[in-house]
Amino acid sequence: MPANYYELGNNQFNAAFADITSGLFRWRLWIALAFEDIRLRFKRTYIGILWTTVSFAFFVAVKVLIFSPFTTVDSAYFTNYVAIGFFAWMFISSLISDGCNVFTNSERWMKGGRLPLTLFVNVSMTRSVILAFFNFIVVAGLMAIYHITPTVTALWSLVVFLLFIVNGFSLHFILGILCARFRDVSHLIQAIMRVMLFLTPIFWLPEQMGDLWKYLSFNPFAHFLISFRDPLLSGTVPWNSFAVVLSFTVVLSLLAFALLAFARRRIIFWL
Amino acid sequence: MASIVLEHITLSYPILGGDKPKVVGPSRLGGAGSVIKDGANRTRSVVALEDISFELKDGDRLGLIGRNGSGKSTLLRIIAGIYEPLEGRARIEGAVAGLFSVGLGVHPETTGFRNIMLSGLMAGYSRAQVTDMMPEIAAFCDLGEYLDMPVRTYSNGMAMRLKFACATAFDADIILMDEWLGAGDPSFQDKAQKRLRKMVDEAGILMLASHNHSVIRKSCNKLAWLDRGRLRAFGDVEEVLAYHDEATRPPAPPAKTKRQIGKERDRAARIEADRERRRQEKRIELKREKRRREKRRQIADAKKVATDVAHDADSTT
Repeated sequence: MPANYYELGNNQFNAAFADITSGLFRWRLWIALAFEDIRLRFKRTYIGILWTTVSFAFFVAVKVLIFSPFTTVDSAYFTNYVAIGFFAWMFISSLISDGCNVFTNSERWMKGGRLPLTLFVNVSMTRSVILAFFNFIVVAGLMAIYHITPTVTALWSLVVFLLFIVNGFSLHFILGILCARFRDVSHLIQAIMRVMLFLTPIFWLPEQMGDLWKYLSFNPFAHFLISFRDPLLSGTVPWNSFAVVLSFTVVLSLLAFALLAFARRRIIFWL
Repeated sequence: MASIVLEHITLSYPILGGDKPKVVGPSRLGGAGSVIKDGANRTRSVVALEDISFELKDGDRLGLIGRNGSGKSTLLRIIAGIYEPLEGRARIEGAVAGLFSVGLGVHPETTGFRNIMLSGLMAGYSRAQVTDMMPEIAAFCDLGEYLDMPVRTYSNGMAMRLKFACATAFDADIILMDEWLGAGDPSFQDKAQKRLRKMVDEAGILMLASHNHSVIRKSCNKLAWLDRGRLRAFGDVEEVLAYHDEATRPPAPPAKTKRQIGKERDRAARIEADRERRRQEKRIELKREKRRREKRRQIADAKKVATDVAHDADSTT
């Protein structure tokens, strides 16, 4: 049994910390809830979760077909470039769009009993990671087909993927809280993300853009993407982008914690 | 070992967007329903509970009474830890099981079995432990093969049975019920009552919000009366009920004045006169109608005689 003693109306930073630890501690519950969500999403389909793999492969194929005439690099490189980049983009954008709805969609649970907010974030994160795993099948398959063997440096991509998860965790709190309080935010984020797909180097290479890249490089998503893709694809570590990712990780974590401390007990009234 | 300690709990619901209640004229007396305004005189929140303090220990079965909107549900949700008061403190010791709306804490798309599993995990049990308890829980809610179907397909009563079984299967020290004891068919009610009694006897606290005083008398040994977000009375069931009944009895109609009596008599007389006049008119009308009918018959007879004569004349020629 979990500790079943609680005090309402005490220090909010302690309470936020307790929320995170107790949320992480209840891994059995969030894993069960995440699998339940996935089970329901693919209910009564024949190939089930493989639909994510299929739709991802289909999308990559079409994009490669359309965009390869515009590029100067060889098609093997470009195919993997698009696949890895789009994989990272899909993961990031699912973290952001799920983050917006994480609390508004959990109203039924939050009003049914006392559960840490972190639990719902964990459910949503787990779901995204599971789906990402099924998308990665395509990436791994393409790399095998084109004989691109990852070097030891590719482990950096794994580190960056873990940073994605840390940032996704923070973003869930930040966006989930803001979207619960100000309902316009989720629409705004949707509009922004749709544009960001094209402003991020997924279908184009930064070198192609010339002077324009100076401005496009202000897009933080670009650096997240580059620092995941480069170690895996070309075995180099883009230190500048990596620094951007690290600083974002620090800033978002602090912001998320402060926001959680402020909104933890208020959010139930905003749903 | 369960205990509940509330100290000066005050809770107000913020009003976000949309229509904010406008208070016309002087605000009400305060307490629940009174609105809090910001510096710009805009309505920001509605008070639900104000300055609530009490303590409960093992074996206490507290009933909550009060009109709709008096804060009963809000108070239960504070003790469940769902709402946290922005003012005051609450200390709750013991595992809490809350029976609020049927739909809360249930996955409608998922089967009954899986919902039981999820409830068990939420109560802090492991998968293996819940699996061990499953047959007993399934027997208690007595839903048979329906447990393999999504909860969305259940009737309201069936969903309630599942919810009740889930909430009470996993050892809880504090049980909170919002208007629940009347749920289900009589045989299930009986079972539910017995289980609740057993749980409370095993050292625990029950809090029950209800408008049904006989249910309160049967299940509770303490009673709190909430009136517009304030604790109006707290204590022995019969004493609080007596006080409540005394205080809420509608006032007797005031004694009539002489003038009123006179007015009423005049009115009765007028009505009687009116009726008499109508009866008179009806009698006259009936008489006229009778005379008219008589006349018509005489004319018809005369015509008949005339045609008979004509007919006789034809047949002879």
